[in-house]
Amino acid sequence: MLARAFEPAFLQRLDNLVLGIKRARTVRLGRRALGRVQGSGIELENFKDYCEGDDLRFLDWNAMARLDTLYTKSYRVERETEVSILIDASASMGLPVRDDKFGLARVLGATLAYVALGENDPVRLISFGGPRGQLAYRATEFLRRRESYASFKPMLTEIKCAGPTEMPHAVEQFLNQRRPPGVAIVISDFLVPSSLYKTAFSHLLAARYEVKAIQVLGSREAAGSLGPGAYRLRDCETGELREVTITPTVAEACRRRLDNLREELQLHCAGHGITYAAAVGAQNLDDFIVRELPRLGLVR
Amino acid sequence: MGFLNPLLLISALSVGVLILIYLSARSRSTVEVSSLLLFEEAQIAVSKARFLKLDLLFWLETSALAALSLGLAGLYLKMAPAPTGHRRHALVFDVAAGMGAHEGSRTRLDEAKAQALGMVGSAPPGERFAVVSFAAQAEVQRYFTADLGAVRAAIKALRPFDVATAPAALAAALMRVRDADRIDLFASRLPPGAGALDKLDSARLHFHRIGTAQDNAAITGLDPGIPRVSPGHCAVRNLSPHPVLANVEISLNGRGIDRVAMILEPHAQGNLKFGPLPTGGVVQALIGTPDALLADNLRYAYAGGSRSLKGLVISPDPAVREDLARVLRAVDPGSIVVAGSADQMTPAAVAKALGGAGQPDIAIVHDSVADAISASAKLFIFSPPGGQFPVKATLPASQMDDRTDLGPLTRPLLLGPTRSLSLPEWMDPVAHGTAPHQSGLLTLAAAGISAHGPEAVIAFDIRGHRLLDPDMLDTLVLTIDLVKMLTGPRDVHVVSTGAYVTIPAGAPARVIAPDGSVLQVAPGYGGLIRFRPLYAGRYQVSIGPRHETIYANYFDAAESELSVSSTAESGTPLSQVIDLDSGVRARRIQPLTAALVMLAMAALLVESAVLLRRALRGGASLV
Repeated sequence: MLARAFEPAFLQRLDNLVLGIKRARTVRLGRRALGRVQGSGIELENFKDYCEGDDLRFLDWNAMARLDTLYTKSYRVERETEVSILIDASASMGLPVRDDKFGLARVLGATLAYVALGENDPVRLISFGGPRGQLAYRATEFLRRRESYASFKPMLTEIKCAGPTEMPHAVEQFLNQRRPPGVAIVISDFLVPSSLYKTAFSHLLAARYEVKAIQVLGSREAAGSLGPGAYRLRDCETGELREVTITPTVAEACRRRLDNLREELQLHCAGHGITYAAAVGAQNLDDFIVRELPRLGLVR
Repeated sequence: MGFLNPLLLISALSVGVLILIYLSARSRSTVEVSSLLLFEEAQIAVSKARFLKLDLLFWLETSALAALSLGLAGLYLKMAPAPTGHRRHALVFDVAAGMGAHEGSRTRLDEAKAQALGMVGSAPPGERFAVVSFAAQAEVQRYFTADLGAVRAAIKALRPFDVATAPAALAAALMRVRDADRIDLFASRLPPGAGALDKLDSARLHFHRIGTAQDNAAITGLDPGIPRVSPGHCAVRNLSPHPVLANVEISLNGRGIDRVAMILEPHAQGNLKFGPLPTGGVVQALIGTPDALLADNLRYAYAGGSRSLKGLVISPDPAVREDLARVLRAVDPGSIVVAGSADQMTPAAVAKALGGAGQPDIAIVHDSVADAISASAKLFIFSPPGGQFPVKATLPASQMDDRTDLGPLTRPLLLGPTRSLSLPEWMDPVAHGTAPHQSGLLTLAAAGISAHGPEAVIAFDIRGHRLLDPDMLDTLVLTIDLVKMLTGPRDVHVVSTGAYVTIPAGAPARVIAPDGSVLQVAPGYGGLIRFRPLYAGRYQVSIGPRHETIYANYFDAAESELSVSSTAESGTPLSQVIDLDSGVRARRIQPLTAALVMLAMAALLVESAVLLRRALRGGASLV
């Protein structure tokens, strides 16, 4: 499925899409100040009274000549926004096998990276997963042009699903790099205790990242992939065993449980200004990209 | 209750296999899931692995398998006889010589008939009876009928024959009444072949042993010797466990020539020597002392006349010619024998060698074609292709197994080269055998009467002094018997009871049996009369103005053994199966195979219905 992310026809459909980023791209330059950095752009943004310490280079000399008043000009600076796409590579992304959740997650990551590269924003892909206690955190370099999009392919091809979902640790490692805050897109099935992703999201938001969450689920997983019968279930991430007997009633309860988990995540995202999208089933990829992502404002 | 095939109960192991399958199905397979969070809210029914859940389907399948296993094993119930009066009841009588043994004023068959008539008299209305007798062969006297008068008449008309019971006769008799609900067999002993009955037949079969232990003495052999040359011999055997006094009378042509009183030890045989006879004729030996069975107290033999036998021997082998001449001299020490090869023995040369005394009494032609030779009787030995009989094949070896008149040989006799011949229908086989790579029986000797007179054939070669080989005595006996038969008088036949007698007639014959009954016999193929004397004694055959006499001898060691205490069959499994108590009506066997199969089918149908119902309720994936 990953091959689709590099098909020309598929990419051609993404050319007109723009990543939906709420945060302004301007910063104030020339002064240690919080907030916007006044820069040396070419598009005038605002005027303000001159204050001591302002850079005299931004004084509006024409206004002073006409009005005998000191004004400083600020310009909209074309500033790049770093886009980090975090792909969950834990073991749960590999199940159910026939749903190919991990393939869907990688294609979505690549798709969003391609869209972000369209604005010449620096984009990188990060995967996190690996055996218990050995977090496999893997990140690409920042790429800025679509011509270098193919450089993501080796990383996307090589990463494998394994281990538990160590989302807080991955975010912590991600933030330790102390990059300017940008956009963080987390792609995962979020089939973990809610405390884990809530902690991760809180860290990202605290670092002033614009967070977007994409939940990837398999169609069989969502509908209940197990037929009636007695099973010994083993959690692929924790190794925990549980003996169950699946009946139609139990299968329905499982579906309700999944809906509840999704709803909890959705409510949390809505409450914290996080854009949430759910991609269910690899077969719905095109529909999800073309309709669902724009509807949710993830792309424009 | 019991099983017809208990060994097939091993199929019940399939129930164990079913349990294993259920255990295997109930064992939980381990499935890896993305997260157990999905299964937290549901009220999960957790059950222990390896627990055999005995649900309805399990019991249905177990019932089906158990029913099929029991059906295979032949489960049956012993039930009381059906109260209905429409049963088919077969009365089977042994009418061999043993049933003719006297016990007081009645014979054993009379006792059997009385018992059978009692059964008929006490039968419920509507019961249908069949009356079947067997001795040398089976005969249906009256097939299933509710006409009790006819049944009684058929029973009363039964008479014992002076023949032994043939093993196949009982099987044939039971085959005729195989539809009967109950078979009552009346016999003085377990008939030969009874051990081969299958259990179902035995279960329906009720054996009534008739008679008590009786003393009996029998003449087992009579050799008249050669008149004026050698004495004759008469063998008498005591077949009872007590000493027996036997007054033996020897007569020639109806005139007594000797009388001896013999005391025979239990199961001993005595030999009475008499003669030499003054002349030829019919010799009769008679035990005058009355005993239980009279048929074996009388025996006939024919002694050749005083006229010298004129024989002609034709063979390309001088050694064979010499051997055959010795045989002829043994049959008649005063015989005149001319021998030579086929090209030497022209009719003129034969007539000259015999001194112009007419044609020879017998011509023995070995491996030669001598159509031009005429003789009163001819014996062809190892007849070549192009000879008297068409040759189908020449075999390198063969084996003689039995004689039709004497029964199976003590041990099979290995013979040399043999020619398989196409024999005419007027010939009756005398000796049978087998050959390698040949299917079926091979006729090794046959005899009959053609338009040219009596003829006989021996199919095997006698080169290499086989006739005189002590290890091949049966070939010499066969040859001598054939020569005696061919040179014997035409109007006197000495045969065993039960053997066929062939007489050239061309017109209907009137046969007077030893008991005075008269029988009209029409000639059949080739104008020959064939009939089977079933009583020991003298038969008179009248064909127009011509008269012939048949003397029928009877002896069978097993049949003449009248001691009930004989345990010859008591050890056979059949005695455990057959109800020997004639006073108790055995219970009826009711196989349950059909009912069990139906039960299994019903269980499977119910199981299918249950599965269908679950499928409709829970979706197709549940099936």
